[in-house]
Amino acid sequence: MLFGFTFAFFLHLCGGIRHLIWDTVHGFELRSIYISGWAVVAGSVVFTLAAWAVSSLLVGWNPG
Amino acid sequence: MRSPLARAQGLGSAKGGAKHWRAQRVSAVALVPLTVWFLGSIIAHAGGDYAAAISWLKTPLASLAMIVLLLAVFHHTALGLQVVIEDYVHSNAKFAAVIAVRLGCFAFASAGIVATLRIASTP
Repeated sequence: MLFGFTFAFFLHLCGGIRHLIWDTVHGFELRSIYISGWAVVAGSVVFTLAAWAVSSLLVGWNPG
Repeated sequence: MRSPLARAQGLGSAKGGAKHWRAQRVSAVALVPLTVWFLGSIIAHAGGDYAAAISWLKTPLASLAMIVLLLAVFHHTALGLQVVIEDYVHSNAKFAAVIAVRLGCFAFASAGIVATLRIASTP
């Protein structure tokens, strides 16, 4: 449950940063849109795993 | 016989749109460091007991950041859910839903701020 919350948080964070970059009129080429889209997914997976790796080192694996 | 302008008037906002858009961006930028700080703090205190969490929240920086986070997060939530409702709810329930979201977010933010202040001010 908490693991899902963490992933949702990072997906929203990364997707939101993608939107903020679009607001500066950057990255609108079709190629860039695909790259940033998958970067958001990949980044969210990496950040979620990293957050859980750090907390697991501190108190063990307990994803709720 | 109605002019195109008369037909359009009252159907959508041509007043506060830019303000709403900008508030959403400003709160988003504020939430990047605030939410990462909050998640980092939660992880750093994982496994700790109630007293440890309370003593953390009592520190001036944590109290301040928590109140700013509550204000930003529920303002951002209300703005974002309003857009979702306006985009996908097409009945008259739209207006009631937007008002309910506003009031709900205001209540949650108020409850969080009161709780933070009570914890921070209890010796």
